[in-house]
Amino acid sequence: MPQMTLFHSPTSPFARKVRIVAHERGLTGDITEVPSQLRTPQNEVLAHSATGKVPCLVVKDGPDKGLTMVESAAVCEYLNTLGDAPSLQPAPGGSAYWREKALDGFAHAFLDSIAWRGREGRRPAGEQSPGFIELETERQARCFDELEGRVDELAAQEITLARILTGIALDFYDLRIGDDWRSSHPKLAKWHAKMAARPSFQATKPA
Amino acid sequence: MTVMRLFHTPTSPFALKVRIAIRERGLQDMVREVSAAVRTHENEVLEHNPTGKVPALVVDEGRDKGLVLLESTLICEYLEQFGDAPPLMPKEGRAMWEERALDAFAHALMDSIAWRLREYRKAEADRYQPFIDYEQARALRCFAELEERADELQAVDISLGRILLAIAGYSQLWRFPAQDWRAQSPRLADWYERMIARPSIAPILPQ
Repeated sequence: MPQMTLFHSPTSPFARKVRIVAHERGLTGDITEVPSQLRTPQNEVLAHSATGKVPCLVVKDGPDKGLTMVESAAVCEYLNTLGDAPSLQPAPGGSAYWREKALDGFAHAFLDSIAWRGREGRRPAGEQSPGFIELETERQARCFDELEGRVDELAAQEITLARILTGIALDFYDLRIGDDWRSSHPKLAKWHAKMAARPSFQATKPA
Repeated sequence: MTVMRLFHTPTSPFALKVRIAIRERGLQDMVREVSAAVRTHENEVLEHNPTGKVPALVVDEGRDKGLVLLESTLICEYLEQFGDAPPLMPKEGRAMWEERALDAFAHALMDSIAWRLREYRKAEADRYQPFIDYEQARALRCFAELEERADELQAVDISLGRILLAIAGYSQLWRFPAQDWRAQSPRLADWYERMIARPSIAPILPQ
């Protein structure tokens, strides 16, 4: 097993996807997690990638030594090839694989929207854009309804990369937006509670 | 025979990546491109996906009928199974992960340029200057790193990550002409000029 460094920030939801995958696949002993000072000149990622983004995985030895990857989807797929835990996605190429990827892309877009809206909402009051926040709020309302309608599909598999990301998106909504979505989406709330109780989610919960 | 629809906007850089991949792989007859009115209530993507995002690929026939894929890298990965042109992503081994890493780097750079542009387009009072300054520095840092990696870029004729890097280089020049990265990065500029002259790219670059 190669030794790896994972640059993250404790609240980054996309970095959390990688940390949960490492946990679910029993790789935490091979990965050194380094919290990074994002958006400062001291950002530790800058020594490895000019993007300065987290998650950033650096492979320290073995055949992939030197491999440096940002973007959670790519990093998670790489970690999914290591070790001998069950795969977190269906075998590539079949219909089930593409349904999984469609859900992962959807969850990614949903989480992007929550992150944008959260970032906008944390700016000084005079520098927020109401039109932008309104558009993202509408987008998220549609996504909640879609997920509520697809709970049976979500529940049909215990855990996959896309389900991890969906669970993270709902957690992040609570952290950054914080209004009540549960009473209007009871089935999704139940599914989320089960996901959030997993040891991998508990171990990576932002303080 | 059209079996898929790609929803896009002519200026979306991530949709452009998919449209270039379609041309490189000769799949124009299989995929019909549909321009969508994003960020309005008339957005046609909303019929297929509540995120409303482009690029979105909708499969209309065959085994995966009804599949809706978001995220440019996933869509391109799906399209790799059709046609007989050379693949745009290596299929295995370290070369595959190096390509994923390059694509992820390009994605981070392109995101940064797109975020900065979106901020610029807000009403002047709603703009957040520290964000614009930070993203500008990030993009210029990425172009400087790519200059160091010009040999690596030239070693392969074309790939998904290289397509997106060329789009990012173009977007920076098109949207922020005052910040011409080519002056500081002559080797990258040589590579870039050859890339954007390709028949798959030149005719569809937004003006």
